[in-house]
Amino acid sequence: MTIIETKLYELVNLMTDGLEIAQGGIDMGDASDYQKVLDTRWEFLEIAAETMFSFEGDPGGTHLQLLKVLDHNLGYLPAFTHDGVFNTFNSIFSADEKSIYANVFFSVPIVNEFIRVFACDITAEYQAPSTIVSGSRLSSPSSYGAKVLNAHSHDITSNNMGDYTLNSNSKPISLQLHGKRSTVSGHLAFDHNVGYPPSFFIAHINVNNFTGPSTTISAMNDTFGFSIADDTQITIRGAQAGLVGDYAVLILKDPIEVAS
Amino acid sequence: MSNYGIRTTQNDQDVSSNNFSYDTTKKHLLVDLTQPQKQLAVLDNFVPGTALQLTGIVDDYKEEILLTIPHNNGFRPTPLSYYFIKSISGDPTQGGGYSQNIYFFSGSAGTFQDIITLRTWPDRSEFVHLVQDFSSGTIWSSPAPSFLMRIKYFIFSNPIDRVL
Repeated sequence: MTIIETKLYELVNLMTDGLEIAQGGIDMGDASDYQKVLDTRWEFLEIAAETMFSFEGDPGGTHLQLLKVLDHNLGYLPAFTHDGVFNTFNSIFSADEKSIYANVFFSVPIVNEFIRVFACDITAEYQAPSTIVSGSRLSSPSSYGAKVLNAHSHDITSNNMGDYTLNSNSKPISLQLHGKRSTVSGHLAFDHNVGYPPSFFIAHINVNNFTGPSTTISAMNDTFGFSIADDTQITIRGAQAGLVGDYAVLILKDPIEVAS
Repeated sequence: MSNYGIRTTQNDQDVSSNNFSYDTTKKHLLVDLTQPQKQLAVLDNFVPGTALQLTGIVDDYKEEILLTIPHNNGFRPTPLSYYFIKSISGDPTQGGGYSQNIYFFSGSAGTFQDIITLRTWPDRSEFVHLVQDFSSGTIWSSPAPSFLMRIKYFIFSNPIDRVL
């Protein structure tokens, strides 16, 4: 049974041992790696769990409190983000192999902080192949392509991208590299070899911290400092002080200075 | 959880391994490329604000909206932004370097902050420049107008104000 008619669309390519789908308006042969909405040779950032977290504050308290935010039960240190709290200087959230925690100050309330955990073992070594590093065309919305609804959505004609889990008129987040890297002399420097300055995340790995004798990881969208990126390497230095210890890095296939 | 969709694995891995490279039964971060206003773009030669001032008033706060990007999601979407310094006071040798989600012109915990960031609302996203005192009574004038930036932003059609 034919499930995908490749003759109709050059957006879809059935490889010898895989499948790739380009963004709308781009033939597969012209699509760069970052202009694909699916390529079975590499990982995409998949959401494993989400929750809203609030803390009323404890004006009578005099100490930090460690609160459990959610159990993700992934069995590894996951990539995760938080959005909502306008906290620019302190890393409040951390994760171990089972749960997400909040280290809250007694008098400071937190209102509707959004926690998103990804099914990505960010400290494990991974590197995707690089095939086409620069696109010769920009993507443009097209009525041809592929789309798959989210589990909670039922209308395949929906114009709300939030209803889809795959859509060739979208930009998903595909991954080039992740793994653990160590600081040297206050800097974090590592090769990415993607062929252009890429978008990135980093997360601090904490050993024997407030959760007890265990290793945890911070959110990957905490602010750590400034980076210098070129075609082969990223170097990150701290904003206020040198970086110390180990970090998990997550490099996206998306260029940091091209939007397509 | 739906039992319908597409699951793929990487080369040489069987689907029974449950080690999927893409699983459409799970949600993914997606930027909507069909919206009238670009939700994925690069802003070049961007001046990140005026000389906002803190005048020594404890807990003082001032902000200015630098750019508004409408969207039709109906919820607060997920922002991601990168700030590259092209030059400071016209001198490119003082530039260089990317910052993710927030760029600090200056500040420290317990004193004040002077930053640019991208925040989202149910109908729009905004690049905002703000100065904020943290109970220290700081006197400060922002150097933002001397900066020239290149900014890349993603606005994902994934909410941060509700769990779907």
